[in-house]
Amino acid sequence: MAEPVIGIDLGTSYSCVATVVDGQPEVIPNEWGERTQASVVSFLDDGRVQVGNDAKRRLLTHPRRTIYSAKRLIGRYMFSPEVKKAMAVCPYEIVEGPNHGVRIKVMGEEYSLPQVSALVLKEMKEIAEAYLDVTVSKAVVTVPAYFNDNQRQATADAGRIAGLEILRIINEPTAAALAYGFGQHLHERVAIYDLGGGTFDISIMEIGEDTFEVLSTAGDTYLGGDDIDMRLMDYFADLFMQQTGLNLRSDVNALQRLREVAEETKKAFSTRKKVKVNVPEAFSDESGEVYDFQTVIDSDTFVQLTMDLVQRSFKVCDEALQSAGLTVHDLDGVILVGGPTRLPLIRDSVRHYFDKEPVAGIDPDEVVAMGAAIQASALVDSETTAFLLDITPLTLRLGTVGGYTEQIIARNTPVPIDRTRTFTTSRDNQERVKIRIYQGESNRVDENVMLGEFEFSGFRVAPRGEVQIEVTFEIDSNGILNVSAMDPETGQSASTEVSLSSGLTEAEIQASMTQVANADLI
Amino acid sequence: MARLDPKFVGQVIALAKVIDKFDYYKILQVQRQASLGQIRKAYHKQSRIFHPDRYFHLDDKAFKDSIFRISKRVTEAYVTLRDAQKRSFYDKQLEETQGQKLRYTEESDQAQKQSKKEEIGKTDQGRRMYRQGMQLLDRKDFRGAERAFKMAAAYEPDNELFKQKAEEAGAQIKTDYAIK
Repeated sequence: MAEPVIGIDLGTSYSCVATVVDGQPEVIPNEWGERTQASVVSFLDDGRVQVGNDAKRRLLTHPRRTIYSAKRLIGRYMFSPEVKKAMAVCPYEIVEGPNHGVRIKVMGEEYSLPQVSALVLKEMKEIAEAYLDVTVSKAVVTVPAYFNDNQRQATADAGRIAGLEILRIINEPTAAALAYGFGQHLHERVAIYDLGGGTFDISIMEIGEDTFEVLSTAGDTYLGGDDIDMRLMDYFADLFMQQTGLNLRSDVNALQRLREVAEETKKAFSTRKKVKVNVPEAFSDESGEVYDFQTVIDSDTFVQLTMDLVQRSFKVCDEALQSAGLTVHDLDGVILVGGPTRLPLIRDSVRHYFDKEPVAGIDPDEVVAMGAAIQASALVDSETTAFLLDITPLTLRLGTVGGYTEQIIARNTPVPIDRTRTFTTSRDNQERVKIRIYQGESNRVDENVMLGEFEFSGFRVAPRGEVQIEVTFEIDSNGILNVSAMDPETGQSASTEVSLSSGLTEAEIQASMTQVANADLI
Repeated sequence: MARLDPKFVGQVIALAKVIDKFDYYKILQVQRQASLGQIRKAYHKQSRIFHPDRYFHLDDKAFKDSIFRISKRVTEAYVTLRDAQKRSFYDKQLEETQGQKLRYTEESDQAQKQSKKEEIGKTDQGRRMYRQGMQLLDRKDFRGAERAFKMAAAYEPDNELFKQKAEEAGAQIKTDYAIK
């Protein structure tokens, strides 16, 4: 039998691994039977590393050496607002690495984000190997649809560091649709509403038998279940201030504990209308006096605290529908993905917005990993028939003079595709041009993410505006972007596969690979 | 893993060489009058044959390069024909060049946008006044709208649309009983 391939849903809060057995996707549980693992990494005194649900329990006892929500930081620069936001609330230490990269410092040692995520991926790989009793080396890993190419590359690097060959990085909502429609002989148009721990995505898809066409996708990489937790945590901290006059936020450990309580409270609202919150010894003041925190919160208050977050998700839905040229009435179904979609608040709002009952019988925590497993299997094995007609989620641009960009491939354009546009020189007798490639939805350079650059020379030297430079962007079905420039007169050309920056050099990746390979996961 | 039929491999490599000589209808194998639904179906059908993911596990580079070349054109054909405006421009382009210009390029896109503009007006001022007129019309300011459309017509005396709009707005004023 061929070596099994796996699909990994690398989530902000939880991760899940699956494989295809006898043509059917199956979630792989860990040795305790747990089907999802917390995306948490904790470093122990003796150099060993704990990953998963046990590591999550150490958040309270060892907050400074236990890393959670690494996905919120992966592929980002130190100056991005998300990193600043994380620095304000994370008990672990976030420091600046080379080239404005982000590093996490634990016990004097600095770790890159791909390295931290690699530890989670390695754990998932080991869970699969223990269960299947064979070596596993190939995987499909999922990312939010709205991740930019740097974030995707950083995730792919994490896979390599973990010792996995990443067959493909696919989008979470697309994976969910694959799992939903696989082998069902459907002819439907569906929306996938994916509210995860840290990100929100919406995709509109057309399913025709074994063909899964993405019509449009939109998202918000700053919106997720964590934000709901934060709202509750802030509410509790303010309430504590009112009750005692003390600032609980001054103690990271106490705040961390409150965050946990906030998450539990949120989850409790999935089944209850009123939640009793009781935190014994929540905080101790300077004199050592210990205070408890108690309150009762009803669902009306909970809705008030979080309604604007939910509303924000529907703005994104409007965008995706508009981009596909559809209204909610053109859809046959809506699929819910992600733990927070268990909340009645979300389910009710979704039902109301889409004017239909969400599809039942789908486990929102497992469906993405199952879809990733189907895609992995379809890629290596021609017998698994499911294939994806994907799109590029963000506009690809070329930098021009004056800090502006020109759109080359619009977002939501199906791939594989190529597009050529003609540019010219901006100065007399110019000998070379810098081809700079950006991704994003703004005309301005500084509001986009730069993906790469290369220099093109050898074209005819002439007064400005007289030279023609044809720039071609080409995206293959792996989502890899190739950019080439050509002078149609001289035939001179240059091209580059845009080597995306995850913030890590090849040498750093190699060093991390050895480190992670030797990491002793318990 | 299933082996590929050598005949199919040969056909794909041959097709990749001539794909740029096919118009989009031929690439998708649909009729010129095909509906949007038929175009989407054809895109799925052609993708089932030519999408690179189907051959991901193979090593044959020449074959895979050919598949990539064809699949890019299949996508391009779909992207153009599913958009009513692009499609009608593409049809016109095929006709005017007698089937010589077969791809919808940057040039086509600009020409398409230009012709869309010209449907409204030929001058910037004319178009600006026209837009203003439409906005005023939205706000039910029929007097203002009539004035704006007349100004637009002054810039482009032969523009029938501007004249017609000015008349329409003017006709509305009679039913506008606002007192000064």
